[in-house]
Amino acid sequence: MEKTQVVIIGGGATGAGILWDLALRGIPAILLEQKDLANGATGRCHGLLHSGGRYVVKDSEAASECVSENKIIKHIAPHCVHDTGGLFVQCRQDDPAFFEQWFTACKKIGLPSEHLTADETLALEPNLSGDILGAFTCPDAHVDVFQLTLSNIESGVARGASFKTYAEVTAIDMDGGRVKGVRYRDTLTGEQDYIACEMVINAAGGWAEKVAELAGVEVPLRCDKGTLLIMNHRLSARVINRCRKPGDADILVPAGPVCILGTSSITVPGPEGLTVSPEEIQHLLDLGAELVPALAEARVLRIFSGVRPLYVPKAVSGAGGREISRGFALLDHESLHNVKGFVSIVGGKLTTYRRMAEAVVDLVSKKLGLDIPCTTHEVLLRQAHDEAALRKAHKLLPLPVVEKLDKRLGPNLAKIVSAIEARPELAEVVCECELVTRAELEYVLGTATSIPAKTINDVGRRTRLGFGPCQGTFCGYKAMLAGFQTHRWNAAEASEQFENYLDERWKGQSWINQGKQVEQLYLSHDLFGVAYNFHDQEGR
Amino acid sequence: MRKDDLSLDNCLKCSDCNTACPVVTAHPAYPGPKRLGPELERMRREGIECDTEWVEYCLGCHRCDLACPNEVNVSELIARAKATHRKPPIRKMRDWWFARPGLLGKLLTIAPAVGNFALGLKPVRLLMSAIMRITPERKFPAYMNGQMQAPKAATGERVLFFPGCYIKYNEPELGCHVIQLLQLNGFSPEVASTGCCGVPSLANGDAAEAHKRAEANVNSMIEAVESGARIVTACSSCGHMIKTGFADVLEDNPELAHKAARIAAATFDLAELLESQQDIGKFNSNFAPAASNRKLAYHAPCHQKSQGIGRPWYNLLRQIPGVEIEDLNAGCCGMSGTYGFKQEKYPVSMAVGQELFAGIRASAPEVVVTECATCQMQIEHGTGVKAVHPVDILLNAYKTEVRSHQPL
Amino acid sequence: MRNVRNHFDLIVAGAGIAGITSAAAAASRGLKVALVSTGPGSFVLGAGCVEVQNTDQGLHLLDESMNFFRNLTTLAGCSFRGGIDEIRYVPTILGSFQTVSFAPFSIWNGAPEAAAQVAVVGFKGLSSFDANFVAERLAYHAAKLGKGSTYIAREIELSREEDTVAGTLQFGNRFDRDLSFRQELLAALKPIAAKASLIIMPGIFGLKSGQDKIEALESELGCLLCELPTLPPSIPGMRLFNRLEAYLRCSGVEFFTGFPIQKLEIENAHFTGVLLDAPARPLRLTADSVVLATGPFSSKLLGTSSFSVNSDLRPMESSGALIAGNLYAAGAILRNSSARGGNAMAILTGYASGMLAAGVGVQYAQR
Repeated sequence: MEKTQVVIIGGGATGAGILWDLALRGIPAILLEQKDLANGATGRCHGLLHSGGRYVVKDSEAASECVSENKIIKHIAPHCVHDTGGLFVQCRQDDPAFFEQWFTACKKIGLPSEHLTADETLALEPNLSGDILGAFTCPDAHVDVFQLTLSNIESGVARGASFKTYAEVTAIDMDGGRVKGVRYRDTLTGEQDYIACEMVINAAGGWAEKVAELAGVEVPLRCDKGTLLIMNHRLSARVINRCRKPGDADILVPAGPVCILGTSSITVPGPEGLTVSPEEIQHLLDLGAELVPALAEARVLRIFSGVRPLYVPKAVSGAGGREISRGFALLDHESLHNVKGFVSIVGGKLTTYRRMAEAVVDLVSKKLGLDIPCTTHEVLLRQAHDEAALRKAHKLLPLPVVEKLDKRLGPNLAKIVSAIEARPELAEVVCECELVTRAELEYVLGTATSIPAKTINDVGRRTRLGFGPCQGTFCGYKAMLAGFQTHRWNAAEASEQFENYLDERWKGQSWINQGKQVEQLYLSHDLFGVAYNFHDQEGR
Repeated sequence: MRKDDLSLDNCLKCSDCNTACPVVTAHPAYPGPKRLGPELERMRREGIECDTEWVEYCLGCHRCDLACPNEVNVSELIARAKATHRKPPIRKMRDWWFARPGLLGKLLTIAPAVGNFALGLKPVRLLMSAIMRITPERKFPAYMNGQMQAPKAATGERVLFFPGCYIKYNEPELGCHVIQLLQLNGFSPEVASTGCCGVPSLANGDAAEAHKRAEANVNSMIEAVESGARIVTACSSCGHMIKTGFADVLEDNPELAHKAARIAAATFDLAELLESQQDIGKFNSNFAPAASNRKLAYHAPCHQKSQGIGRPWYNLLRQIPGVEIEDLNAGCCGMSGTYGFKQEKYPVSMAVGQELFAGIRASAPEVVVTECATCQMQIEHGTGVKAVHPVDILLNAYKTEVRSHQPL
Repeated sequence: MRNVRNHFDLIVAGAGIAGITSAAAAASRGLKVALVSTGPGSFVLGAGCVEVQNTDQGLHLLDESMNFFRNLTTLAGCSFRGGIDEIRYVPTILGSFQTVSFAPFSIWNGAPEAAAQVAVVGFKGLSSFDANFVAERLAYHAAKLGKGSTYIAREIELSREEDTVAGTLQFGNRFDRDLSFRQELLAALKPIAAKASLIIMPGIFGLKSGQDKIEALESELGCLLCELPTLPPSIPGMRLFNRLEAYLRCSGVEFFTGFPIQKLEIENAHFTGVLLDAPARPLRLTADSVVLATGPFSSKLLGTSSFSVNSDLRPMESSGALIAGNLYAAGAILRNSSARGGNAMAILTGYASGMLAAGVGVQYAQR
């Protein structure tokens, strides 16, 4: 049994941001996440750090939020952001009146944008359709959703906070309408435990409605599914948007070595059991190809869906998924439902996670009788990298590996460097598609990190292992061995981990019915049959 | 960001290319074509700095391309990396010269006796080693002045002979033999006024020079092609470059690229051309009866294999009476043109060639026959066995009266 | 005018197990064969193990085709062991056992019945194999099978120059080329062999070496050796491929490697030749018949996404008419088998198609 002041339920960007904010204000907190960090909408979105351009015409409030948060995130978390810049491309088929509207609206809210001619645009982005009329620039960027979430958690932990993954909340303990504690179950071991606390923050995203039920209150959500396609390699240097009313498949985001095309908007009953139809996929590719013709033939690596948890108070329940405001809602259940010690934060988007966290922590600290201001907009999430370690790393590892390690680990790079100095074989690249070294693998599986991986998928989220063209076919086995060698798993557990991992990786590829990835899957299937003796599993 | 082909997407990570790569086989530290090609290209498109010295170690043999089951342009991806690779100053300067064998040839044939003499002197070679990192272990080929006469024939199909730098500046007599052979087989050859094909420029990472070479050569040869003449090469690297490389390096200029494609379609390796004559009954097989049996061994240069024309020299030489010829099929010789002359590459070059050297020793031929000049150098250097161009074998096989009475 | 020089009795397309077997079968009947391929098929993934239990077609040819294949491997210096009625458990790198009927001798040795004291040996620095993991799992699975073998884990260190990659490919190449490497390997294994009757280790016994080198090692060590194919490239698989290819070359099969088939020339239901996608112009090869053993994604060569074959392994249109009277299909292009049963089907159909093309009256399926 443990005791703290605040329990946060939900380990997405918002929950992580809340943990960091609480930690900075010196308020003890524990975060509980039912799977691994960033498992929900955070880990299933484009990773687009919005400039606001997408909302500027219809939802200027949300757009303004984006304008300021965009700058803040770039300031506090530069290691998570790849400031690619963005374009809103004017397609011949789209409404020219909208182009005017868009540009004017940007000026109004202070969103910096310039117009480029078709030639200028194509010179910058030659893969765009030759048919375009021009484009507007904007400060869109890509943010690594996993690194952002992990960074918030890691920094929070460094300041005394703590968290648990694979911890499913089973009950919220109340006494006379006041929250007393939280009961949870470790989904990997089955063990149950209890945390006594004063406040519970429901930051469970798509599961917020379910969590709210545990406290006996209603939080009506509409789950709106968006499907995204991961393409094997970058087709653009910048974020590409289509300058029109927000619709399907009108964003292409460069994300590390891949790019992500999306998305769609379909109401679904809940955040789990999501399926993707071949029509949906073709629809996205067809639309995407209007912007970037190569998308018709480029290799789709993986397909996944995430759910936008949209708050639908009774007044607006008729509107479609996109028209509902993308602003967030902070629900004080004490005033709403007379349940003390329970607040929910719902809606919103990745770009505004910090502001959402700020709002919730402001409320919570007031309730706790503390008057400490928020500083998350100023305090850097991580110290700058370690120069000495970086120099040493350059001598031990090839350039692209160092660059990626530096971005992911920052000051922790020194730990990797000393590990490699002690055991040179750790310099070996284990995931060849994404250039992940053995040293990093052992680091995330071991005890030197405060955000350890508990499954091979967790390893992937922390290092991008298995995120490349082979989707873990070759490196998954080595990752399993690393977990075994670092004593995280015994041999039987390691075997099971590996099977689970392959199942997981299969999920995102099972929807792909054409193109090179199908051949890759056949190769993997063949390989598994001969090397691992996996040949009976269904669907593979 | 450049507008790119999607062959990168074809890579299924099977590592077939790595098993075929002669440098991986001989040098356990070499990352391999899978990494240097498609894997790093994906990172390069991400905008990550990927430059590595290892790209210099690629032989450019194209065996990775031939091994790939999925049509990934592996060697081209590595060549692109070479073009943006930054070298330390000495190598940069040395490779600048190596990228221009045409220039070197012109200079050294001003007073070839002097040049050859100097290049044969030990102190000079030691100096070159110290200053330019050119290995003193190898002999330089002799430079010679010579004219290749090609009298206009009244009969015979017009064909344009692309001599290449080695024939022009090192062995012009071989060029004369090529002309003779063509005349004996129903052709009226003309020597093209072309320069270096550009393979050494590409191999040394000088894309701009390769572009210049391609442009100049295309402009020089297009007229002949448009009037229906075919182009013939006696050096497999030149042949490979004309057939595939010109259009690649000229892709920024659609008009030139189009001309390059037409030229490629009309280009033939000499043996390939002779085989096509054989198809229509026009191959001259007036061979002298065998005085005695000769044991020969044929080594197919990598750039011959990559042309996808079968084994025409092997097929032709087999027809010579008294000739017993073995197709060695024993891997890459390791020389790769200028590569083997570089001090830091010399050990790799020799390690790569070991399999071929062993194959030659096991075969114990009188001579080794191969149409690539640098393969010849490497074979002689590595085994001491003489290596000759198949043209000479074929030509000398004809009856004396056939050779001296060439059709005019 | 007939292109005599590039004319063959048979063109086999595809150098996977099916294509190699087909070419070998036809060549054994005196046919002049051309083998056209891009890549070595699934040789790069596994080791060629064959499991016949899941075979449900062509059974009457099973014995003959498997004998042929076994013989071929022996002639090529990479012999297989096994029989169509055998069920043998061979280890995998996951520490499990897979049932096979035939396997290369160096893998056949790895069955739990072969030995009681087994040492699983890993190499320091080789990240794709952990002896402790494999030993533990093998022990677990062996016990489940009711076998009494004990598995202990050992690690050896082989000298390496700085910066070199410790991979099975690098070790495999050194095994082929470097006598001192093989001697070092022998010396490192000797103390382990003294206490074991079988050593299981990652496959590094060269990509080109003949089985004599492995047998010599076994004899010097006084114990059996079993090599496990690790992550691709599979060294045992590539060795099998290279040896078979070399043998076929010596037998007169001509290889055209690295140029995909652009087009099959078929006119009036008669195949005449192939056009290979070569630089500058396609290379045309003609033949009296053709076997398509080009793998699971190649139906488009026949202009269709799926097709069926008659009892002679000749593809048919949906109407039942033959696409070409002298065109056969073999191997995974037939897509009617799982990954492992695949090798049995590949050998069966490869053998049958090669014989059929040679005019030998084998009937693949009794209908």
